[in-house]
Amino acid sequence: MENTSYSTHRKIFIFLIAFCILLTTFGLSQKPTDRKLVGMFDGRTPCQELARFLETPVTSECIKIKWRLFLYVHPDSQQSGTYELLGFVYEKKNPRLGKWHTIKGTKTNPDALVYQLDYEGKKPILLQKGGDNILFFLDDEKNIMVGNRDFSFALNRVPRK
Amino acid sequence: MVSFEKVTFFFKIILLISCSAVIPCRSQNSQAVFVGSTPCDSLIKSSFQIPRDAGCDFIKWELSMSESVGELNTFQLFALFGISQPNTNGFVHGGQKIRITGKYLTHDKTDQNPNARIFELTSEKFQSPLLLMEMDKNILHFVALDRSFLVGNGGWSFLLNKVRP
Repeated sequence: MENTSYSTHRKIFIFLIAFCILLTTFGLSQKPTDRKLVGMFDGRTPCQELARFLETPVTSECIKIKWRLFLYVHPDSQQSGTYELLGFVYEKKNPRLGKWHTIKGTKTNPDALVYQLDYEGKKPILLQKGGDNILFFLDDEKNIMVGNRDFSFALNRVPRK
Repeated sequence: MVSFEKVTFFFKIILLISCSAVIPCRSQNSQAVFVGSTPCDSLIKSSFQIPRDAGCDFIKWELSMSESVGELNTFQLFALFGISQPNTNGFVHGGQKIRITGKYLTHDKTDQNPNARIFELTSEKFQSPLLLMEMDKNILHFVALDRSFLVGNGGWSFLLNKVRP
């Protein structure tokens, strides 16, 4: 009787292990085909202007925001994808996750490529592409936001450690 | 007895003459001032002839560029560089000062942005010219000699912001 119970437990245990291995294998192999990392971008921007833009109240002590943006692209499209934004109210445990697509033109450059980072119930963030490695924050009128002596409204591509 | 109206009229005339004399003067010598903090890249170090082993995390810039028409374009640069003082926006021991004056040329159109201009800053104190791309009237971005954007890091970007008048 005890031997039968032991055997059943053993079978369940082996089945569970096999299931986990299968899940991990498929999970890992599926991820890269779902999305491809375009880049990781970091930067420090002034706080008050972006808080106003994002319609999020902050205290007057907030002088800078540290950002980290992961841009992912759909494998079949270079003009859309998903993103993960960390910084400001979007903490590590609760990042801003959403979809992006590209639009063309800023107020001063009709040919500029702009990433529009959509977010449900909130204003999109607009980032002008500068070369392959720089992103500039745009305001409502699609002008590059003007920073100060200490911080600018730009993100820079950084190597992923 | 001089009437109040006459005195007021006299002062109005004086004020008009003063304004007409001062205002064109200001517009002829107007300057655009750009500020910002950038990394201490090897290209910048080389331009400023800062020794390679000198402690330099970042540079704070104040660049004044003349906007006069029909005259030589000149600039004045005041910069501070050094090791970043943790938890502040400043430098350990206040940083080292640089004061440079020079001239700049304007190059129209680039491959990356046909609407952008490039400012080429030259000075006797520079080993090589500094190049700045005008993203719009308020933003200048440092570019390399091949006109590619200099890439910053998580702390600082290679960007200067116009000081609002």
